[in-house]
Amino acid sequence: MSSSEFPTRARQHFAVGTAILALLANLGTPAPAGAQDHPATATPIQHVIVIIGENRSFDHVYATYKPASGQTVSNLLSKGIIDAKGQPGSNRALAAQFNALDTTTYGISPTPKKEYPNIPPPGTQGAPTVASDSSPAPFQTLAVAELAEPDLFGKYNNYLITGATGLPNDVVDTRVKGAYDLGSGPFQITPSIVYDSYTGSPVHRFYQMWQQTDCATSHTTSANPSGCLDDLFSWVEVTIGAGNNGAPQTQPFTEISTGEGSDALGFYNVQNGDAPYMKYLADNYTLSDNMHQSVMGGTGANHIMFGYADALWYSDGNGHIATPPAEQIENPNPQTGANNWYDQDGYSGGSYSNCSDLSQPGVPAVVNYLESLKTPISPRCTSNAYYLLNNYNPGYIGNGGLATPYSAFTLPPTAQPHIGDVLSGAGISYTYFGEGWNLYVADPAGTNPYDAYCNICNPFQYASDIMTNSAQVEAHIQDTTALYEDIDTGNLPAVSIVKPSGFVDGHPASSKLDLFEGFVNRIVNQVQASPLWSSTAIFITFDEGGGYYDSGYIQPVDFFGDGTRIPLLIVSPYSTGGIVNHSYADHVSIVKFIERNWSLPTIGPKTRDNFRNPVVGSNPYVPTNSPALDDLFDAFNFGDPGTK
Amino acid sequence: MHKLRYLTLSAVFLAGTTAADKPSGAEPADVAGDWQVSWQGRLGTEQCMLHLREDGGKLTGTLQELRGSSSLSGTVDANRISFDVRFPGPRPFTVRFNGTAGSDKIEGTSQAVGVGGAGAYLGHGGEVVQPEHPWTAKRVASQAQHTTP
Repeated sequence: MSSSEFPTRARQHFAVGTAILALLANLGTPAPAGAQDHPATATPIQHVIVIIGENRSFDHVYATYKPASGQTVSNLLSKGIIDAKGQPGSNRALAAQFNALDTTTYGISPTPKKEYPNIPPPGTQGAPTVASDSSPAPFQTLAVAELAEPDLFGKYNNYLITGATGLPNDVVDTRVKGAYDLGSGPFQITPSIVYDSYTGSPVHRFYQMWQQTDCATSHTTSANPSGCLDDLFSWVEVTIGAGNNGAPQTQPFTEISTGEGSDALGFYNVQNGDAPYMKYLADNYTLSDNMHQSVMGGTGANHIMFGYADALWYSDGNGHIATPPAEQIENPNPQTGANNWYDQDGYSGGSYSNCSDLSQPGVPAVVNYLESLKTPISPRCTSNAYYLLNNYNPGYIGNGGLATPYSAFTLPPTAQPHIGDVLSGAGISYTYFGEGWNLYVADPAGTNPYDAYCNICNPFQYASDIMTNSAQVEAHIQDTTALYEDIDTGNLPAVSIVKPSGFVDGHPASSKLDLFEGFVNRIVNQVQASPLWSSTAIFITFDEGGGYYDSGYIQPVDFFGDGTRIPLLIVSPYSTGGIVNHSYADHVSIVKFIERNWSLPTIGPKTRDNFRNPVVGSNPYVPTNSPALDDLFDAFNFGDPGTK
Repeated sequence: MHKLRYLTLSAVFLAGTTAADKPSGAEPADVAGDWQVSWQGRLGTEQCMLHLREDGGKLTGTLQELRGSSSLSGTVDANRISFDVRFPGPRPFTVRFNGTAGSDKIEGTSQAVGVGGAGAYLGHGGEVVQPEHPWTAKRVASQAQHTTP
């Protein structure tokens, strides 16, 4: 329906027209590739599909994954942190969690620390108590569920009505066996909580994640040159959690007051049947065990980094740096008398930091660490710019109007360049397919209960050059209904970015991993059944680790990240066989793949896509030329198309 | 699309909902007229126009907003107001508005009935967003006849 309103072929032709306009406007882009349907590519890949789920770290999903013979993987099992049954292993101390003290000035590696004999029990947080059609998910009836969430097929629809906790919000999750006696490290969520269940969602905001990962030069070793220990996940959850909007602590303040407890330490066991489709894809295609969320923090900032290879700063809406309202500036310094209870942080509170100014709260802790590393890392912060670190609404609503009348918590429209500019400049077609877009256009405030579109996930919704031109919006933003039609008709854009709705994005508490598996399954099956398969690469990843613990190496590349590892599956005829790729990557690596495949320039002179490919020594996970990001070409075997 | 068969089913379900409450016996507040409404949703606050007619404690009228004009029905009992707005379209839905009325201001919350927005829908940093959406209304000058004879 939606694509017939603006046929894909027309959208692809629009890309060429835009290229010519870009050239005329002297935007610094190369000459257009021409009006051919398939501009020249460096590989057989003529279609890239990027599917971005929500909130799962690598170890959270693949903790016990055993790769094919001849392959190795870095996970909790291979490191001996756990055994195959998910019980603590001989090297359990590697993942031990500590409490700490931070009562004066925000630190990313606070001391003193003391190991938890038992991590605080996990919490139910916002996970749903019962199935309800009036307050889903899960839904009470399948009919209503399928009406609200139309993108699933077959058995996956049934998962829309199951998995409620039976427990109140923000209490100890007593479904977890031995919740009070979990030891000091990761615990297996299943089988005491069945895989098809909703769980609490750990905090994963910017300053919280820097603390969770506990990076310090005093921790560095040759095997871990960034010195990130990943040992404060529980402590951050139970001290500050997801933020406070500047309010004082509730009293009495306990380890369950934030509602989370130690949700971050939970993992699934793919050897016992959890995440079966994620395991199937890993077994048969290529899995990266060194892919990272590109920003310490949540959904918005990570989707922005994917679209811009940079963070976005607060502006006057016309491309000039400006200062945000005072109450929107982050202040993670602890409130008087409290341990790590931030002064100003929360969904409607702080979200910006001027990381070029060491007098700004929170900033010196990160910058001083970066600059004191053996190979100092530039914060890459523009002078006087206040960068968006957490989730605020994009500057535009769906019809191209400004978002500020709807919410004060809105990043003004940006003129910063994005990957769409680069693609359009070369005549390469691209579309962001956001499930629920068609509903959202008429529902910018989100009052329609069926509208579970993710506005902060769409990097182009922040951009003036897209959103102020209705033809650009039509050309580059569509609902997923258009994606399915495009695959069926063979008119898929060269680059497709696909985002599921909030019901099926895999986000804990509001969605489940099995629902995201269903969303991915439909797309993969449809592409494989089409003539597009021979020339398509599907990158399946997540926006971030959701605040879940991960044991992988973290490479600091600038003020914003990287963060913990996340799964990345590469599904194509040229990435078969259950390969595990160890090259260091983050979201911008996919941008680098696109740029190399279509011989494109970088987005800007200082954006992350300018980083070199990693050079490694004996440790394949640790670049010796930081900051470095792989372009993922080495995750394919283009000389040997497989049969899968 | 096979999903279409559920439209009828859902519409029947929604039509069966009412905003009725146990009456107090007190005189209903005079809420007839036009109201400027600020309605907070999951992503922000929408401005809309509410037109209410009142007849013996029963309310009818319309809510005018981005999706067009939607009809409503409900009750007012003393200063307690409750009405359901039925939004048409390919996937129709109903939202129940409850509130407390003053002479020129109404305050309350709304929640979808039949099918609701994700009750535990989370902000994407781990923050909980509540399913009940606050709304406020201010009386504005009206040109229309509000009370049915």
